[in-house]
Amino acid sequence: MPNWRSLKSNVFIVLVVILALIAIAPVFHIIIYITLRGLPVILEAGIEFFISTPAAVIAEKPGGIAPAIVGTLFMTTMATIIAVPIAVLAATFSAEYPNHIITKAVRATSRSLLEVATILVGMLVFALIVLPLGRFTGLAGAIALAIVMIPYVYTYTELALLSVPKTYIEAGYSIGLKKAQVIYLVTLRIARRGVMRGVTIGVAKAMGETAPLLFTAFGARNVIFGGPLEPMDAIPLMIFQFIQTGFENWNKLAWGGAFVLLVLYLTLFIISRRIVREVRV
Amino acid sequence: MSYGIAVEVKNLNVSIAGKPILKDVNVKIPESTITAIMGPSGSGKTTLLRVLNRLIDLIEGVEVKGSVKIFGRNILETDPYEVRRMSGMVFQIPNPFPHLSIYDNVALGAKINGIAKSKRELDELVKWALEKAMLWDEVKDRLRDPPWKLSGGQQQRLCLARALALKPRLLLLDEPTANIDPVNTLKIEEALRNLKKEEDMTIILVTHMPHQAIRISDYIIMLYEGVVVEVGPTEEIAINPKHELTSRFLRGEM
Repeated sequence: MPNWRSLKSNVFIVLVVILALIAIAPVFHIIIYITLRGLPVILEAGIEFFISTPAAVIAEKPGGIAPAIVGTLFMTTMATIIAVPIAVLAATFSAEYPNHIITKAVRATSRSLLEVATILVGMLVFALIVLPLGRFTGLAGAIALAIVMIPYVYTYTELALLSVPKTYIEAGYSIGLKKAQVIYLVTLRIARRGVMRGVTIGVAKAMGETAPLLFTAFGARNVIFGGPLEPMDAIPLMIFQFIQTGFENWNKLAWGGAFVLLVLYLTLFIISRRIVREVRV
Repeated sequence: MSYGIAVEVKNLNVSIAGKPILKDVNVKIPESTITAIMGPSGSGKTTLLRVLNRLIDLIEGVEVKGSVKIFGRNILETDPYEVRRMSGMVFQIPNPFPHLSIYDNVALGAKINGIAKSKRELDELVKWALEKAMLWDEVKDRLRDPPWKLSGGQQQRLCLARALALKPRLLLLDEPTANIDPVNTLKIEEALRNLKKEEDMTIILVTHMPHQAIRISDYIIMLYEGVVVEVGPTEEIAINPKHELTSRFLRGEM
């Protein structure tokens, strides 16, 4: 007599494994495809890829994307410096006063910012900063990226803070800590992994954004770094612009840039996991 | 040894969101004694304890009326942060700070409150607190370990050491052995007895284990639905409870 139960069980296990593979297949597809298209470009261009500007479209070698790499690193760093303190302070306030009118307003704003098309953020910064200054600047790009980052860092930090068990907070007060000391020495420390997770996701988000930069940093493909008050390039912006052209050299640079971005992501996630240890509660 | 009054509670009424939790509580607790607050769940034991270090202030919608004097000071009119520094507290579930080492768990309060001035003073204070909590011998070689490497009972003794590092004259414990095995329970009880004898500490402990109250307390306060139904020396109450509720509780029928 056939064992229907174990047969059924085996069939389902196979099915689940197949479905799981289908679900994660795109991730591998992206990683493999970008590596296959991007890595050869970098090998062909050599060190030039990282330290020089794009070559002319008819040149023998593609040149490099230094303006985009420097721009991405600069604007992402600036955005992080602007966004993290604002977001963490706002999240601390929200976790401390969950029913306060300001908390409700911040939470609603943050939620809608998560949903809003990021190109609108770019247009907002265009109106507020680019127009009055009369020029596209890397700083405006950084501010736009910061606005994109804030709701991510805020949401994750608030969740992390709220998940700290009350008993540790009470213990903090019981040994005579002031409110600010409890937040800084107890709550934020216990929640540090969650806060770091929010920062990582925010940085990743900012690093990969194109739309907010179109009307703010604009792009500057022939100047490696002109200062924060000059137009600035970024990797996603460069990819977006170069992949649309019919020039082989620029298409190559776009693929090489995609590979660099991929490596930056992997580095970011590995570093962020390494530098902050999980607190075992 | 002095036998003044450590805690004097007069006409204490506490309500949370309009619901009365403690009703007209009046008790006097002598210095250098162990007092057990007993009563069934929901009788207001924890609330009474948390009034004494103003941890009750953390609850939203709480209203405290009356007068509570600790060593002669009305703590309801004192800055709550100062009140909390006057006493140490141990909670029902062991809650050492998970992000700090064993050493730093004990040292944090002393450091913040300026109790130890130098690194050497701090080292000595940490050692003293861990010894008094009867934990020193078990952790002296691994003071930098995180607390989750300790057993539950050890963690609770670490929490006792953390409270002692404030050098308090008053020690508050909220069912400190409710989640602890019998061996650790006896160790904590021994530590409390020694603290009373050697350090003249006044100890107030909430318990719903009648045997524990009889083993270590000098006085018993019996609470029922927010009202003190009986208060007196443990020997008298254990042998001859005046109130029906107390005798039922002592017999384990509640």
